[in-house]
Amino acid sequence: MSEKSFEEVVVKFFKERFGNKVKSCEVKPRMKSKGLVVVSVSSDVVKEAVISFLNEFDDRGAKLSTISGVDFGKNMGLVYHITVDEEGVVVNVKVDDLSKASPEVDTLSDVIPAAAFMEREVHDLFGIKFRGHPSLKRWVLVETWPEGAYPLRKDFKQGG
Amino acid sequence: MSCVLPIGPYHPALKEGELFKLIVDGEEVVDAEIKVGYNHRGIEKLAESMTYDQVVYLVERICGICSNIHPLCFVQVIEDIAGIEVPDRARYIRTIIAELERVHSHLLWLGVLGHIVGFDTLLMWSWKIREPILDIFEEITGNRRHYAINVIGGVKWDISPEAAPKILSVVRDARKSLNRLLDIATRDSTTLARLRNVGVLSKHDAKKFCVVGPTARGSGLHIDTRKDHPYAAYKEISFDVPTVNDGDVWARTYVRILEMIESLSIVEQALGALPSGPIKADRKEIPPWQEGTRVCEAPRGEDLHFVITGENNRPWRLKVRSPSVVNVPSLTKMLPGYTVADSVAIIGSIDPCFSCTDRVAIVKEDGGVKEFYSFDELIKMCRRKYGGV
Repeated sequence: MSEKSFEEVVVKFFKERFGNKVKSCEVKPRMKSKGLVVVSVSSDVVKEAVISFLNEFDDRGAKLSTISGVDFGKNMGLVYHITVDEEGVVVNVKVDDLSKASPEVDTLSDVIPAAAFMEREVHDLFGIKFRGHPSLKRWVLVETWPEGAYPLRKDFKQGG
Repeated sequence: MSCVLPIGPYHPALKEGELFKLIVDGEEVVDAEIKVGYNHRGIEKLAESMTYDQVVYLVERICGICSNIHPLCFVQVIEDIAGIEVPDRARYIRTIIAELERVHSHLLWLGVLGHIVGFDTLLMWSWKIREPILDIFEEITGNRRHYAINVIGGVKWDISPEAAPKILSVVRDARKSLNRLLDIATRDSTTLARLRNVGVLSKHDAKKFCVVGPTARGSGLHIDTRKDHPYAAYKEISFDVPTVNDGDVWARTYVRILEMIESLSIVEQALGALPSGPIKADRKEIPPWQEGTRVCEAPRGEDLHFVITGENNRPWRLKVRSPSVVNVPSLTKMLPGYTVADSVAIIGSIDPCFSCTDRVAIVKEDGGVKEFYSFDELIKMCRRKYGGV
């Protein structure tokens, strides 16, 4: 087995392209399946990291499946889920250094139209702003939902 | 001059709430805007307060049609994190249930499509084929829908030796009937006139909008999670992934009929090769602060579950990306250029599941005053409504 597994190729790609902007990069085993690659990068390069990965592995069927917001407690974060269909590998590109007071990150919607809707959902539920997004209006929440109430944040109180 | 024609949120052609603002110029749709969220129930938030075993039942209720695929996807994430090896027999049973679910879901959709385009006989036919499949679910799991068969580590119900021949006979009958539907889909001129060259989504746009499932395969994208990211017993079973390049409503219909025929063959193969042995593995501890992601092929396409485990046997974060979430926005590309009369067939053609798209809402705004209900208050309201204290 001299040939590199695709998971290793992914790890190498991020480490070579983004050097010290990559905080961690690991392959998590999955039962009877190929691995899950979890890459943590700093928020200033996340757009470039996701787009360049999708372009590089376009012929391997890489596509952006969705974007998850995460409240890490101290910071806010995002996880970009990329499925590489020809390889059976899932790549989670993670950001965990967004400030709670004003979380902001560059939008992907100018390159991937589908991301516009994913980002609106994250904005609704976590209050993360996407710089350059054409219109961050309500997607899953009602239009009259109060500003500044982000229901999936941990400090959001349901009930009185 | 163009004007706005709202369809929904509540509309006779839509079974659930969703708003489509069609910008029309005479009969022609020139632009479309969509608003979802009329069925948001706070499931992702709720999951954070439940134990893993409870979450399995919670995610089953995301959708009434694909009620098997969400728990299947979720338990696999947890099995990855805890390192639980699922017994072979359980993997095969999961495959059988998942494929029967695909057949019943596509048949339900085909009936609804027939109804939308004014071909109610198709509705009667396809729902007639669907009925015995629901009986099979009842035979195996005790329920026609919401089978609750997936548990962390395996499945809850076994397929008895008596049930197997019954399933096989239903599969044989269904195949015969499906071939007849295939005939209609390819030769009936009225049906073809209604579905052909309507709501075209090019391969390029399908990729840009990251669409999945039959919507993607109808536009010539050869993607299927069962082949690409094999789970359950799909690696050991041979089946085709049909694709059609036309990208119109007909293509999405045709692909689904072909898929059903493949699904029936998968059920037959899995039943024939059903291994003996236990159906559930022993439990292991689920470590906190780990993460996992899995994708499974729901009837409507790729379903993604992402979990970060937390303390007290509860998830810190559960993210569910059901297929309709990415398929619905692609309608903004499919609708323009076609007539208002075609719009409902186009909307129906992606098999949109609004319950899947929407998952959070707890607030009520009353004359500018925000009003939140606590759990206790909600319980009290329910009791009052149903005559309790």
